[in-house]
Amino acid sequence: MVRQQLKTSLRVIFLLAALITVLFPLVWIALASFKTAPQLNDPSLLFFEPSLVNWKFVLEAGILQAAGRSAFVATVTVAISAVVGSVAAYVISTYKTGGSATKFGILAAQVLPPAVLVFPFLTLSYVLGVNDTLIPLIFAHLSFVLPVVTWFLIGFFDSVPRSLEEQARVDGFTRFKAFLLVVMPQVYPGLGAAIIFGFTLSWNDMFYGLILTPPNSTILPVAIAGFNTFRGVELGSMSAAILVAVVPVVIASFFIQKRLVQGISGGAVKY
Amino acid sequence: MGTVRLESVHKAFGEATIVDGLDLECPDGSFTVLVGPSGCGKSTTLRMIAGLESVTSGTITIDGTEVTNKEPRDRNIAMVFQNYALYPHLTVLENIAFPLRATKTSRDEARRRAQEIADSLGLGQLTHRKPKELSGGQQQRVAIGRAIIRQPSVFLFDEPLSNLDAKLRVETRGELMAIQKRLAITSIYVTHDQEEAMTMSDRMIVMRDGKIAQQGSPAEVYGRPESVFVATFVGSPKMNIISGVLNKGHFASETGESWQVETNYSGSALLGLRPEDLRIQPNPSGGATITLIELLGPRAVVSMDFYGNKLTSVVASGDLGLFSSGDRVSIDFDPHSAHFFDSATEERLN
Amino acid sequence: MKVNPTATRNTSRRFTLWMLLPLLAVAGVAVGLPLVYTLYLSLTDFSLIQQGVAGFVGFDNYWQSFTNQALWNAIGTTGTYVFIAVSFETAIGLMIALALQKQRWARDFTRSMLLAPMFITPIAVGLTFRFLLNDQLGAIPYLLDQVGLSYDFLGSGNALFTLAMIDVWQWTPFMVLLLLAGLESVPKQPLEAARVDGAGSFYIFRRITLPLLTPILSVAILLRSLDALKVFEYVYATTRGGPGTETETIQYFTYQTGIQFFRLGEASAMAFILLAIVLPLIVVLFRRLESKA
Repeated sequence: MVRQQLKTSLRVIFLLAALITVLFPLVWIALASFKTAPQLNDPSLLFFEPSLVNWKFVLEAGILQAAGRSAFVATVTVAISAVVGSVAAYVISTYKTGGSATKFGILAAQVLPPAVLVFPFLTLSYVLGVNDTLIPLIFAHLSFVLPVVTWFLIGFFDSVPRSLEEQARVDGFTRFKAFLLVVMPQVYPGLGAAIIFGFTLSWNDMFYGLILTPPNSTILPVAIAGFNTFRGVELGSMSAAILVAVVPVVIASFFIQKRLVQGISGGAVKY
Repeated sequence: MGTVRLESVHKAFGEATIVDGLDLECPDGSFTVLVGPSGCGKSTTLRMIAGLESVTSGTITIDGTEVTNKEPRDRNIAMVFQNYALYPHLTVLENIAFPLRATKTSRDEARRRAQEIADSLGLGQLTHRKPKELSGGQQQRVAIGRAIIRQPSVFLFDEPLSNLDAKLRVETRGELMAIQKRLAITSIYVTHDQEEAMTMSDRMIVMRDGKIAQQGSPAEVYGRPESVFVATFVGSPKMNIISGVLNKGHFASETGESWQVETNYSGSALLGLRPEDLRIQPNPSGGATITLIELLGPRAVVSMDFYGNKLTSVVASGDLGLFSSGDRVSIDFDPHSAHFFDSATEERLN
Repeated sequence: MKVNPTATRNTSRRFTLWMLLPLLAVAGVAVGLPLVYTLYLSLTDFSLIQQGVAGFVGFDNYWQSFTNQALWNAIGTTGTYVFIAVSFETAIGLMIALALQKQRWARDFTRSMLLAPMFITPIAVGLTFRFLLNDQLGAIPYLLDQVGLSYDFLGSGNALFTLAMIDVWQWTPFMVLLLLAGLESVPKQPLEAARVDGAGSFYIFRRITLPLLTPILSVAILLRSLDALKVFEYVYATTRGGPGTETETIQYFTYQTGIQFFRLGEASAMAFILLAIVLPLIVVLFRRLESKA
């Protein structure tokens, strides 16, 4: 009995330590966003009079516009990925269209280092004259979000019984209608998780954003990097900017955790 | 009307032939059962009739129209799958009404008809439930309701009772047959269970290795099996087969016993006896030794060892007092009930 | 005999091809085209400074990269980084997953909280830690100082390890997520049987749980390693490759060559060399995932 209690205490302490490790930097940043320049110079300051000066600065510097651009790029990317990915994932799963080669290509595209694709995007954006729009960035994001969403969906479609679609075809529907009315509804939960995950991936990207967006109308992660100097006041604003980027995504993450694993492994692991 | 005809239907996957030149005809309103062991091609045949599998060669005709290359939705058929394939995201009512969405029927009209059908199947109170909240038997009835609503020319059933427990299976069997009789829609039913085939069908088609081994009414198939395969496949316990030689009205088994028979054939042959036709008498010098007695209520199955072969006899429970495990018995039979098969071809001789 | 998937007939062929077309089209433009273009660039001496004048230089860039010590340093640095980070993530992740699995109360909440870091944009994580580890302004040196310790986090000899630890902070949750799922799918009967037979916890873990966990463990490690190879944001946020070239990872080095020095041809060749290194890993990962489906 004592041994059990000891084990349990150790476990709880361990998890508590992990929680603290995770939350500590986040709490620190949250606090810092409300500190003024002189307050920031003192790392031990825990209780203080909160100030909104950083938040004002950051808002004036256009953080919301940057966030808006991030949201725009993410939304367009995810919308295209969801539509294109669903129909493709369905036939890949059900009819094994494209065989192993296609599945391999999809996996490879997700894990491709951005360094490999970024320069053509840059060059092409100049050549086509779209270098001061968000279009090259959207395509760059599509290069990894579309495969991820498709990969997720293949796994989810795999778990829908084939007989459902056959029943619908016998009941009087075309293959496409059978897909749309009967098979798709079964993967809506998985699609939701894939969309949220894809949105997060796009929202978080900095590498493509750094290289492919014009300096004065950039996306959120790059804007955050722009606060990266060590003049006192900038540190506070950096913290505020970080929170703007972090909070929505972390909240969204709570909703998709259960389906995330099934999606990531392409259906190989169910949770 | 809803006649189904298959002519020289052939199905191959690469090198493997699944269905080999099948010719069959199901008259309008009949209940035809395709039965056979695993891999005999019965499910593939059904799926070809449905349009879910392509036909390598041959033609399929439903209701006078050739449908060989038509999509399932253009064949005016309904199908019930083994796992019922109910749409999980729809309620019972929506499931039943679903096929009408493909037609021009209005939403209200569809709901009305679906409710009617649900009521007639005893599902009237359950229409707002989702499939996962129903029992196996209820789910099956929803599947049937969904099949009925389109008033198809043909019903196709792919082992729909396999997922039910034994007692429910027997009950549902009766219900299915009643519905089919009432609606008089041509039905084609696939099963591996020969008992199901016997009790439900007007016409039984026994398949083996992609070909038809025998077709006919259950009585015909049971009473005059045309091959050893059909003889031993249909009927439980299995028909007893004893090898020996026919000569001048006598059959002599390899082991030396001899019986009088009524046939003119001579040569080596296989004697087939249904367990209920195999009569046993206690006899200390008999050829068979009882190994097991299984009581089944009004009857009992007596298993015996006959020179290394296993034979079974069905005996009235009242007579059990005469027998015990280990006793020796002699075997006899009414010559009229004997089936004879050629030793080489295994086909019927008499 | 299993019923095969619907045999191809004309209608089904057409249907599947049309459904696949949008993916092929978009992927063709978003992935295929750039890939081919990178290949082309890698064979030229294209430089953003002299736009439009791209001479074909054949495999010069490749040779140059191959013999470029800096590139091999970057590869080595990245390899070390990945090895350290993923090892820690696997070990710690496993411990957390095991602990979480046994936890009764507040389990979902704890899990949700613990998974948060992996959803934060990596640049924010990098900058946060730069702040946290800073001598004057950061909480950690302050706390260390309170107990009389001092450590130069981003100094020579320590920087790469520190960056790896940042990776561990952000990505251990990913391992936890996958390993938790793996643990859930380990069948309970063998474990119970072993318990009944008198086996101790550690023995059960080593001989039964761990082997059963190996498939998902290897998938997780491969996925994480492929991702860690791309490390850029942490370097950009903190050390910019320094001190010296101690934290010059492949992705950062490629970035520098292409964007800061404008030598796109060379950078493209390096990118392809990187691809050549990564591809075998992807093949292994693919085989493992497909074998479980």
